[in-house]
Amino acid sequence: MSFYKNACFNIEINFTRYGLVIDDYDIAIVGSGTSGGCLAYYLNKAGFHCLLVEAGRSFSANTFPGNEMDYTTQLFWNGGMDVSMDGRLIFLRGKCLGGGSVINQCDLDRFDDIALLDWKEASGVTFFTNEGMIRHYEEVEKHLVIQEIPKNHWNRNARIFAEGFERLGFRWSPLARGQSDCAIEEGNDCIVCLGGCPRDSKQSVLVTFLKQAKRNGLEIWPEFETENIQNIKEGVKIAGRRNGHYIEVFARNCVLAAGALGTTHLLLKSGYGEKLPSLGERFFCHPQMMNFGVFDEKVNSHKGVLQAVKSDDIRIRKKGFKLENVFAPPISLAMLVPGFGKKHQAWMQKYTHMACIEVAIRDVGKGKLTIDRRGKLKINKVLSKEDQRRARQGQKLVREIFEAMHAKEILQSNFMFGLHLMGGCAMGIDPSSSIVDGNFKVHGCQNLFIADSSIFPSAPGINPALTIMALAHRASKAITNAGRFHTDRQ
Amino acid sequence: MKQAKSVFLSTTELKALKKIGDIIIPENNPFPSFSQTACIQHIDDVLSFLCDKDLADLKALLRFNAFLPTSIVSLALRLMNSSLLSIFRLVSLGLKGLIMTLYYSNKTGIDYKGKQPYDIIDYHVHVIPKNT
Repeated sequence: MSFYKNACFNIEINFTRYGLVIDDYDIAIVGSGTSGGCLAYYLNKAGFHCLLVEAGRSFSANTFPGNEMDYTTQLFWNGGMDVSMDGRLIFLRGKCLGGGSVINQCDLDRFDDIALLDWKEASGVTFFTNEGMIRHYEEVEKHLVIQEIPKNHWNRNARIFAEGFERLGFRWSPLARGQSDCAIEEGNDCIVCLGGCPRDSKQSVLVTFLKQAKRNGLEIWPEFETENIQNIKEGVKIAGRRNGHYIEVFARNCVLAAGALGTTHLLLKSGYGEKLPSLGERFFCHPQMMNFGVFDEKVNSHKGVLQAVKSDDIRIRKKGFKLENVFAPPISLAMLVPGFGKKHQAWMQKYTHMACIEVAIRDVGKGKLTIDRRGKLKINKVLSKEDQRRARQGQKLVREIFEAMHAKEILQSNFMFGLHLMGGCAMGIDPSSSIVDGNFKVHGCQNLFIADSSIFPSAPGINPALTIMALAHRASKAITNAGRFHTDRQ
Repeated sequence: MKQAKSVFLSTTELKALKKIGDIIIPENNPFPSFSQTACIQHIDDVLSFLCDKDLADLKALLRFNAFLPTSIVSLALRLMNSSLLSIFRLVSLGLKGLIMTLYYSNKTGIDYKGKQPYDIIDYHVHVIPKNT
C-alpha cells in the first residue's frame, strides 16, 4: 500500500489493491441537486470540511447539450426512462451537477397550511407549521431571484389559460419563477432551459448556492457514483466509482441528498432495509397529465415564456389537484401523444397550434420502492381510486377551459410523468413507520442524515423545490447542532 | 445512403430497429420515414446510458423481430400499445421512446437532404447566452 497526504486539505489518500481510500472529511454529502447544493453551502459556510459527490457530469451555461436528445441522455438518470413497474408512469430525475435544479422549471412556491399541517399530522414532527418553516423560507429566498412574469411577456398559451379560468369563474395567479434575466424581449425561448439554462438565469444551485460554496472552498466530485454506504465506528464509509476506479471515502458524517429515488435506492442497496422496516414506503410523485387544446390560429406554446400561470383557487386545491400552463419539446410531446403511425404524425403537425394545460394531482396512493436481486430499483407506483378520481376531475376542468376558449380539438394524454419525486424515507417520530427523525438523522444510525425530498411524509400538491431548500437549511442547522458532531470537532 | 454502424447493435439488430422505426414513423407527406432521415446513425448516443441488462433485452427483442414479416411486427406493436399487461406496455414504451427520441431529435444522416422534423412541425427555438 502506498500513501500520501494532501497538504491543502489534510486528506489522507491510501492506494490499496482495491482502489483509493480517502479519509478525513467532516461531512460527505451524496447528491448535488436542490437539496445537496443548498446543504453543501450552509455546512461549508459553518466551517466544516465537506465533500460533495455527484453521480452525473458537470455542465455549465456554455456546455449544456442543447439538443433534446442529448440533454435527455446526458442530464437525466437512465436517459429519462425510469418507468413504474406497470409502465404507466415515467419519472424524470436529474443526473448532473446541480441535479434536478438544472432541469426543472424552477417554480418556487412556499407550502400552505394544508400541506404543512398534513405533514405534521402524518409525521408527528412539530416544526411542520408556517411558524416553524418561515425563517427557513426567508433564509433561502435571500439567495434566489424570484420573479413573476408580467402579462406583456406571456405567450398565447398563458393567455388561453388565464382567460379560460376567468370565463369559468376560477382564480389563477402568476407562478413564482426562479429566474434572474431571461430577456424574453430579446426573443429567448425558455423551453430551451429544460436542458439547462444557457444564460444562467434559471436559479439552479449551480448559479446560487454551489457557486458561493465553491468560492468558499467546497470540494466537489462530479461523476462519482455512490454504490454503498456503511455506518462504521468512527463515521460513515461511502464507496463508489469515479471514471471506473473504485474509491472509498471516510467521513465523520454523511448526508444523503440524492433525491427520493436515489437516496432510497442507495439505502436499499446498502442493506438498511433490514433495520428500517418502512424504507421505500410512501413514495409519491404528483402524477402529471398533459392536456392539449388545438386552435385554428397558431398558439406557439413553445415560444417565449414556457410557464407563467397556475391555478390559485381553494376549490381546486381541496379537490386535490393543480393546473399550470406548460408545454413540451418535440420528443416529449411525441411520447405524450398516444399511439404511433399516421394519426400520431397528424397530431405532431399541429404542434404550433396546441395550447397545453397540465393537471398535477396530489396523490394519496402510496407507492413503494424496492430492489431486485441485481440491486436494480423497482418503482411500484399505481394511482389509487382516489388519485384516479382527482385526475378525472382535473382533466374534466381542463376540457371545460378549452371548450370555453373554443378549442377545435382536445387531446388528453393517457401518459403520465412524475417530476416531483418524494418520499421513501419519510420523516417521523415513530421508527417503525419512518426513516429519519425530526433532526434529519436516520433512526438508529449515528452520523447518517437525510435531507432531500425522500423525507416528505406525504404529497403536498405544491411545487416542492423551495421547500426542499428550506428543509436543507433546517437540516444544516440540525446537523451543526448535533452534540456528537461538536464533540468530534473539538 | 451511408450504413448505420453501432458499437452496441449488430447489423441484423439495426435492420430490425429500422423496420420498427418505419412502422412507428412511416413516410407520410410531409414527414419522411424514420429510415429515410437516417437518424439511426445516432443510435449509440441514445444507447450509451442503458444498463447491460436493458441493452441485452433490447438486442434479444430486435433479433427476434428481425425475422418476422413487417405486417406481423406492426400488428404486435399495435396490440402491445393498447395492452393491459405491463410487460407489453413496457416494451411498447421502450421502443416508442427509442424511435421518437432519434427522429424528433432532428438529427439526420450525413447524406440526408430532405425535410427535417423540426421544419415540418415548425419548432425553432433559441436562447441568446448572456455574454454574446
